[in-house]
Amino acid sequence: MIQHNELITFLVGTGVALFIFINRRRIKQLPGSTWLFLSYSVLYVGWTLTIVEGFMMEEIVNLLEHACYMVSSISAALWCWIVLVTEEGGR
Amino acid sequence: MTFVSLLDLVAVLSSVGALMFILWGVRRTSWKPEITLFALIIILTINDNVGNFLEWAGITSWFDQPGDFLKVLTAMLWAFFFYTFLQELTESKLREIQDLDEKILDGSPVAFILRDSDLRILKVSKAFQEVTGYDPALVMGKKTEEFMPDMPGRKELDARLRKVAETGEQEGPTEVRAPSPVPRFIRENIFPVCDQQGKVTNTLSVLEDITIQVETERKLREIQDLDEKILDSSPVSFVLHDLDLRIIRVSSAYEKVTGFKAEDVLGKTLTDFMPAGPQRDSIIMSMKNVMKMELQVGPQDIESPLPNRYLRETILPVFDTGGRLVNILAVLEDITEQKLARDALRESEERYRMLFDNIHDGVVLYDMDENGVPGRFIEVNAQFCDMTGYSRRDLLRMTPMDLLVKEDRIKDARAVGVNLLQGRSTFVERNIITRRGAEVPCEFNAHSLNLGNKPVILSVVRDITERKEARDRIKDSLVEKETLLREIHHRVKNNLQVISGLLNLQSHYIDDERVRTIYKESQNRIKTMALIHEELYQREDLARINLADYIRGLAENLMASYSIKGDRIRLNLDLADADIALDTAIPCGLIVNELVSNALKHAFPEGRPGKVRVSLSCTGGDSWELTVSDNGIGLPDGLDYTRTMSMGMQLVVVLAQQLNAELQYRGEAGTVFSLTFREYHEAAPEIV
Repeated sequence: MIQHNELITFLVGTGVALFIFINRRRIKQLPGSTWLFLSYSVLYVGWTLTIVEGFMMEEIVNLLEHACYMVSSISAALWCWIVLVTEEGGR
Repeated sequence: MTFVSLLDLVAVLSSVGALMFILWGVRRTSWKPEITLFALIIILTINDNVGNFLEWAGITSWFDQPGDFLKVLTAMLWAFFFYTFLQELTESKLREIQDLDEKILDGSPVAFILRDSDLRILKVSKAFQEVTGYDPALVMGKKTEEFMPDMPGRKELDARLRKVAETGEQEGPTEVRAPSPVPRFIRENIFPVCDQQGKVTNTLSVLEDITIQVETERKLREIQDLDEKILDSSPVSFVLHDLDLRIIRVSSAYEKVTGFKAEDVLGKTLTDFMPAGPQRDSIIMSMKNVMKMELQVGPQDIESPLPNRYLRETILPVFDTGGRLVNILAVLEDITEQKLARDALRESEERYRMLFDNIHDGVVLYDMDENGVPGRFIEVNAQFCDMTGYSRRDLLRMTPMDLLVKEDRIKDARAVGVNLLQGRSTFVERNIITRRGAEVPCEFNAHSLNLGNKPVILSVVRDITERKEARDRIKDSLVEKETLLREIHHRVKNNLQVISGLLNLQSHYIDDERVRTIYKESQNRIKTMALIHEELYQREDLARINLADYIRGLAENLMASYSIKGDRIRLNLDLADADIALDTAIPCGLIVNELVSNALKHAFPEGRPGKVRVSLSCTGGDSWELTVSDNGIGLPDGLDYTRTMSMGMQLVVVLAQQLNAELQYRGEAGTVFSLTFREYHEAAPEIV
């Protein structure tokens, strides 16, 4: 069953993903951009899986969804580490 | 707790860690707004993760979810985050470009002026002051007329600026003279600056200081003018050909050197105006070689097209600044005078060489140092080579000392050298050693010369082998003749002594005292002459005798002859040394004989004692005074000795006349006869 807020989140997320895809070359200029990409991409997959779990294999998809959130958080933490703590970010 | 809740827990811890990193590093980042936005995303993520964890851990009772709309907000914040990040990136790039532009502008030696549409100056680059001489602070916001009202061409500049502002088309380049204290030349380009709609909003003037360039061009023009003047005033002619060998430029000397007028040859090749012949073909071939090899050909001497004139031609490649061959330059120099002088010099040299080599004597030229030590031969003639047996090349590596025998080398070489250096000619005889080791006597007649401010010795070397042999023969012959003459004198003396002895023997058979006295006198006269010959053969010099010795011997003989006993009559001789010729000595001897004999016979009668004095003294030069005196009774009163019948006195008078001598008599306390004479030379027999 599809919830409205999950669908809106997915749609907004899809828009952001398109924006990122279009400006991927410029965003690559950011330090540690790989981790940032990974963080958002996995988060976006999580948002997608939230919708998917309403239709099939609820438990597995739910597990994957939460795994995606975990990976996204770790990636975001790594990006923050790179940008704000290491010398690479300083440069 | 489920596995999912564990995943959520890790997610919570990771997101909290991310927030910690943000809090830790936000102070040192320049992206503060973007990071703050990301911090919001992380806070929402923490919230979401905590909610998930609590939900799956079954602790929903004390944490109420703030609502699912926060997930939507998170997605929107992500979008906003990326958007602001990209904006910041873009602005950052723009700022970098702007900074770079400013650096480029400020670092450029070219000045930039940005004006608004009202032609007021908005911005100038750093080089502005250097190029224009104006302080940027004084011109900012002003129009040109406000700070340079008297600038030449200001109105034209304003017109150009307005034209660019109206038409949007570039103006320039225009060269203007800046009114700075030091004259500067500026090249100005005006560009329109348009907005995004293509409307001209500003004008950009680009000012380039071309003072150095203008000065360089002016100097180059001056140099070029000077070159042209030099070329035209030079007696050397220059002909510039293009690569088709057409003449494109000739200097003013060309006509004088070749006889061709400039207007008749310009734009033409040599084949168009020069008569066909090997000369023309040779020049064309040389020019083609220069084009091919790109190297200079010549200088080579050629005949001028003008009769009896000669040229020296050098053909050179002319390159542009890129090193490409662009022209051929022929340099023609009239060398007629040089050639004639050279020919005359060569003829002269040949003439002197011929004389030098064909002269009968050896002629050498050699160096000499300041101490008079001879150096190497500089030149030797063929005769000297023949004389020594060495080749000219060998001799030019030798010094005169190498040819001398050892004793001659050290004999007086230094003294001879110094004499020569002092400009005195020197004449020496030396033996030289030929290549085969033979010694050849030579006569060196050397003179010092200056050859290029360097002292050199010119010596004429003559082989005197034959002359020396002839001289030796003459010397031998002379010795032989002297021996013979000495023998003759000896024999004459002997014969005269024999005659004297015969007279002496005969006188013993004569009873008449008077006759016996005559015999005795004759005998003394013969002895006098014999004594001369005795003196002569005993001497080295057969032509002269020592008169003092002769008179001394003669007087002692007379004393013995007249048997003067004891010290009754003393003989006093005061005789100066005098080498007198035979022709003078014989009359002198006979006169002394007569005068001393007279004194011994008549001055001291009846055993009277007395003395006879004979003196000989030089009265100056070759004049002599011979005095015979006694302290006897003297001549009878009134007796004229020149007219007496006495043979002895007649003989004295005659012999004195023969000698051209002055005979004086003084009858004071005896008799004094004084004879003043010069050396007498009997005229030599004329040789026919």
